Amino acid sequence: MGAEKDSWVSQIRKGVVEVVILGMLARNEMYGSEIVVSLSDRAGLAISAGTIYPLLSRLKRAGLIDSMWRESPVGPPRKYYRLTSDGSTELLQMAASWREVARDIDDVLEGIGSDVSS
Amino acid sequence: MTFLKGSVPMSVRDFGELSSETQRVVEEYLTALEAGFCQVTRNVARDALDETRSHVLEALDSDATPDTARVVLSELGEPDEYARALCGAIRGDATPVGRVPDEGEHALAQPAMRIFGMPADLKAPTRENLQSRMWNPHDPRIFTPRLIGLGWTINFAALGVRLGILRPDDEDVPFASTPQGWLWSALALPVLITLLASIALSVMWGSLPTELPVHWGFSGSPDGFASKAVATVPLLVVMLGATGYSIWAFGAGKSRAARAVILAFSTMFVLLLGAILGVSVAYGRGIELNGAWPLGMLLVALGVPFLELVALSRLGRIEEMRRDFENSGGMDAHGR
Repeated sequence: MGAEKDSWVSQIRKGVVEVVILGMLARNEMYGSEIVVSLSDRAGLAISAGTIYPLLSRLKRAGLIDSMWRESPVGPPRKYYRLTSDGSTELLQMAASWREVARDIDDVLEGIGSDVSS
Repeated sequence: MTFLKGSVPMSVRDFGELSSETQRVVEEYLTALEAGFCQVTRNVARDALDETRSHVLEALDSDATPDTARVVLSELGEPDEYARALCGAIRGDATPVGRVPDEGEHALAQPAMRIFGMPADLKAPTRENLQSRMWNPHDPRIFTPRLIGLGWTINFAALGVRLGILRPDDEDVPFASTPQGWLWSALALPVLITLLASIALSVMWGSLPTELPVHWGFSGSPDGFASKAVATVPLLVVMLGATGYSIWAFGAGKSRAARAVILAFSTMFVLLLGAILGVSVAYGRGIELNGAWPLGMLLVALGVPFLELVALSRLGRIEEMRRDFENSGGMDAHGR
């Protein structure tokens, strides 16, 4: 069951990684390693660098994000990513769907696990 | 498990309880479904069919008309579509709709088979294969399943990333912005080595002994000899072939990425075989190298193509930066 559960969790993570990246880029432009570092703070998502770069490339080809080299006041030039207008539209839809799914799941799971402590 | 009886329609337990016309509709659907099944383990396929059958029976009652049956079945979708979806679910490869796999994912795909634990792929290598396995900055694995036969191929881009001299997203598309002129310059290396080896060999041919080393022991000293033609000509032929492969890639208008990677591949072969040829001929001329030469040869044969690819990638990155810095006025206009 352990392996089954791990694969279930990783399936969930796999499914949400796009909305996570788009959501981060909606707040501000970021460069690759900045995304990697800030995601490493969110251990629950467990998104590795090996996942992020192929994903950035795919999102760029899908026209949802755009990248541009920019000189940096400190350190070398960096390739910054930002949402395109298509990306913003897509993100809005994804966020709405996510909230719908999350609300219903929370609804179904309400009280489960927490009534052990109460 | 308790069922809320009131909310579920009366279901039948057996086909026999259905009218013969309704039975026929259901049977037709199940037959079409079975025909649409992929090659999954037979037991699993049968389970899936049984599941479907009991689902249908569950939804029908004993006086269900053929039309009711059709409605229930249409909820499952067309039999071939439903079969495909089931196959995907069984194999666990159901990909979310609208999600396009990218190059990186292809490269991460598992090898076709394994022999003694080593990845093996007996299909002819395609350019895309060569490219994604020798240079895939998105794949963090340095050793990727090999192109032909057994073993692994070095993913030079992953090595560069690991060494900190490249970032995975340095180029949007590998080598797409690398200037043509630099690619052509890099082609000069295998061409020159092969040319020089051919000229040197033909000039020295008369002065070479009749036998030359073809095999070396672990100490790096020769332990197998053959006639000088056998010891040299095959090596030269393969060098010519490898160089020819690169020239063909350039002449046939292949993409820059394909050119860069084929070039590195050829250069690796030319350096490796050229070194063996050189050591063999040197021995014939009375020069014996110390035992470390095979290691040095490997370092050069892998190091030079690696540095070459890194340099070409870097040149592409410089081009990308130049383009973006020039356009940065445009980006500011968006208020960023």
